[in-house]
Amino acid sequence: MAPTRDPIPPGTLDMLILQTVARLREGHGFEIAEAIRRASAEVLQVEEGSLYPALQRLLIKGWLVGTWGRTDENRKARYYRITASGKKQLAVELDSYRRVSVAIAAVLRPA
Amino acid sequence: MSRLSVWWRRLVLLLRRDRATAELEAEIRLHRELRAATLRKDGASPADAGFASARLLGNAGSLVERSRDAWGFAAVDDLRQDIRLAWRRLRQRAGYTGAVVITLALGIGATTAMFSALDAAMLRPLPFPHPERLGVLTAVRTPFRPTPRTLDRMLDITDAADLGGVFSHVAAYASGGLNLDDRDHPLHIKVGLATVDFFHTVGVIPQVGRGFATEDGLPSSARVVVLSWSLWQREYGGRQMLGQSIVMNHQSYAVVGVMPRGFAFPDQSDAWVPMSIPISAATFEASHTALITTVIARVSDSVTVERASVLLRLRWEQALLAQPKGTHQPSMLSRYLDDVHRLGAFVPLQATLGANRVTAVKLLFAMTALLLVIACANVTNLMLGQATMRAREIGVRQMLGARRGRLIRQLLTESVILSLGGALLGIALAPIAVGFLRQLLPPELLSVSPVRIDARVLAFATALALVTGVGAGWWPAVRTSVDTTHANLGGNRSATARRSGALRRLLVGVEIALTTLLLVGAGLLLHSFQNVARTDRGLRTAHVITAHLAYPRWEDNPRGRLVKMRAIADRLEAIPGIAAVGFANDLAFVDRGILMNFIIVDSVPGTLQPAEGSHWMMVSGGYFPALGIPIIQGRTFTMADDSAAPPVAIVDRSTARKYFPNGDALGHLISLGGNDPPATIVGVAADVLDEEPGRDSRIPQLYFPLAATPPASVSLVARGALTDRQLQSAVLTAVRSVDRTQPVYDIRMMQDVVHDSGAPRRTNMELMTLFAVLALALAAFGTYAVISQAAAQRQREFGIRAALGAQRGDLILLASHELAWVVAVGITVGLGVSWMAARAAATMLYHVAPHDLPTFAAVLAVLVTVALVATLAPAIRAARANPADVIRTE
Repeated sequence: MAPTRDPIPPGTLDMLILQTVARLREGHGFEIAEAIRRASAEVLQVEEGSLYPALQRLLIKGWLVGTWGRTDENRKARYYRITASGKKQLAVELDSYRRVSVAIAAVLRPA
Repeated sequence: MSRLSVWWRRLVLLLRRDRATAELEAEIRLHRELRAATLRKDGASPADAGFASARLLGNAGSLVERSRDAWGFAAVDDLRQDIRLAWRRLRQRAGYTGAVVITLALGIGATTAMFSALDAAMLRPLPFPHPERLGVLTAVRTPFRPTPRTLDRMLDITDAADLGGVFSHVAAYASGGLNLDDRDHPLHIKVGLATVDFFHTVGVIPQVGRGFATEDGLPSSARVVVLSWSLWQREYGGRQMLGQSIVMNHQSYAVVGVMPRGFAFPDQSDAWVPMSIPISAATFEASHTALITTVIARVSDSVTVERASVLLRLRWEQALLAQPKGTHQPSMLSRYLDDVHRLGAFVPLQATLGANRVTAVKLLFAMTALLLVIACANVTNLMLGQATMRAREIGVRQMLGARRGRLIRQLLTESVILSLGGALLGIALAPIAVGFLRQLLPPELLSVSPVRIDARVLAFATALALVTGVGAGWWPAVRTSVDTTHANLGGNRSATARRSGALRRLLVGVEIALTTLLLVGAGLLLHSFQNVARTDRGLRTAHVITAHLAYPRWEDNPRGRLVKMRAIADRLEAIPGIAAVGFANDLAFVDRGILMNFIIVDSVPGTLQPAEGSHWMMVSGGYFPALGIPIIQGRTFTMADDSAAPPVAIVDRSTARKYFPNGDALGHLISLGGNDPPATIVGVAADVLDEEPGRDSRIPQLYFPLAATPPASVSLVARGALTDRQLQSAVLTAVRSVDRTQPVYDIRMMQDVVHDSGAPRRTNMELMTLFAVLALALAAFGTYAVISQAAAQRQREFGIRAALGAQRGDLILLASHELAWVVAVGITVGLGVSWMAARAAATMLYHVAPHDLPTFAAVLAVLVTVALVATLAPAIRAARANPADVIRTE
């Protein structure tokens, strides 16, 4: 029985992908999805149908670059790496995310 | 910078999009396989793992598509694909495609053609710089004789020019003709007579040489001429002409300039000669005794057009009221004031050029718009029919992951391709229509602003095609793309069919109502046209030839002209078969465009009327018998009614009756006002209906003797029991034997003259009838298609009913009753709306009330007949089906 997983809150997927790719240094789509799942202690489930549109979006924006390589099983895969502008973008998003979550936490704090 | 690099990456993707798509697919495939492997490792069976991994990723096609959306070029890509798909589908269904394209070609073609006329008449700016500042000064006249008729004296052209800088340029012009006689066979050309500032006012200056200089306008100056580009090329082969002389009417004119190509204002002018100010008879009587002179002006940049108009009117009223008491009859004064208040003192040139036809053009354009709506309704209907048939295809595509928006776009692409095809076909036919539409507009307008298919018209047609494509295709696309996967794949079409059925019937109802409107319009015009054709014009036109003569020696003394006319008449009358020969300064049935105010000086007390506008003509005594116009009372003119004799006049019967109900018009005095002595009425002629019929009241017709003031150009009319050809050669021989150098032009049979005078009405009627017939055909086709398609879908039901014992009559009723109701409602609504809207056409009707019952009844009869055939024919066919066959096919 798979544990219950929460879908990723809308709008944060790009940030999660950037962060994950930054940590992995390099990874293909499946690895990124799995890394997000593992890193969130199996709580966050990347809806696999939205991963590839997001990756394409980030490629176009220039925040990720993709290079084709071989997996351990010798299969062709596109490996994503974060770019300098991707790191800058990640910093901006993390910063704003932190401010928002601190604010939300303050509101929700029991009186 | 980063934005630019985003676009760069997009462009790269677009250029290698096939490879990029393949990569994306490979990536997704890898993901699915890795996922399946993970699941198997967790203990799932290979089949379950494969299924689950696919489910987690969702529809693969849709995922690729959504990922590619990020590229931003998806739209371009999709469009290409849509077009390819649409093209394939349309080619497969040639019948459907043909029906839609032809339907749209009719609608778009007709609307585009009428737009080209509308564009020429009122939308496209005249080809002059700042045409909006160029206008006709209605209250300003150019006095044409040294002893002006004070009646005509309003503001002078010089007064307008001096109006405190309101106008930067003011000019007067008139169109006339001169004989170009520096050659073996003299040629009559159209000549614009214009004051020296004319070219500057219009804003177009000669391409070669110069325009008119101030001294060219002095009566004593040497004669100069500016040639049109076309005359220069045609007659002089474009060779160096500056400083050369050409001879017109036996006078030598020095060529000083050539206008740019295409400039022919006013009225297809071949050349321009200066008109002097003040205008003296000596330099002005080049072609007619009275040329209609128009004063135009260009408003200064510092003044608004509205302000210029008001300032001019105030100045004019001031001038008029300042004149000595008794200069004007009070009734004439108020008439002047009314006219200028009504028309405005400054009327944009374009408005005056096409004025009397604009209503007809607008109305016809509105009719083509209705026709287009009907065509669109039909196309929508055909597409809805297709929707039912392709429901299965759409269902499959939805299953395979096509999103609804994408499907709608695909379907709209198809309908836009169809409408562009229709527009293309329509535009291909438009040149034929344009030739025909020229008859709708007056030549004065066409010489400046021709009807043509240009970039504007093409842009209009393209826009129309896009709007039509989306407009007609929208509902079918939305309907077709509804997710009915289950029902569609199950093969049960009736759900979709039933939903679109109501909409399709509504469309037929709208089509029928609009068609009714068009039919009523056409019926009213047709009825009017018949009335005009049946009207006794009061003259006999058979075997009457007319020709125009402009005297080469226009400086000849008037007596000389009379002698020549007499000589020509004598030669003609000597020919056996020729019964009568006459002359007139103008022909009946030719638009003369000017009314002359007159009053009866000593009318019976109590019947004193305000001054009234009249048509006036100068005719010889022979004019009446030549055209078969009886003199009812008194006498005709003779050669003795010359300038030395007391002035006399002949009036037409309605005028005599109106002012002298007791029938004693003879001997009374009629005055055109001013200083000229009143003329004694010596005869009453029968009425000639030469005005374009349809006015509220007849315009009085006055005749004055040609011998008193022989004009410099005349029309000859001759009646004879000879063939047209014999009459023609008789006229040519007679004129040439009197003067070899005399050009004869515009030789036409009187019947043709009368026929041509009705051209605008005939064109209106023909176009309207054409549009109505097309609308009727489209509406009938639409009705037929809806019933036959609905019946085809219910064939099985019909078969079962027939097997259970339903009679054919029952089945026919079953197949047709729903639509028959809609058609009946459509006709009723259409007749109701027509009844209310008919007034709009009132000015185009003749002896037909807008609510003419016979017309409405005829329209009803035509509609009911056509509707019966269109509904019953397919219903009967459906009811004839053999139940066994029908059931077996399913």
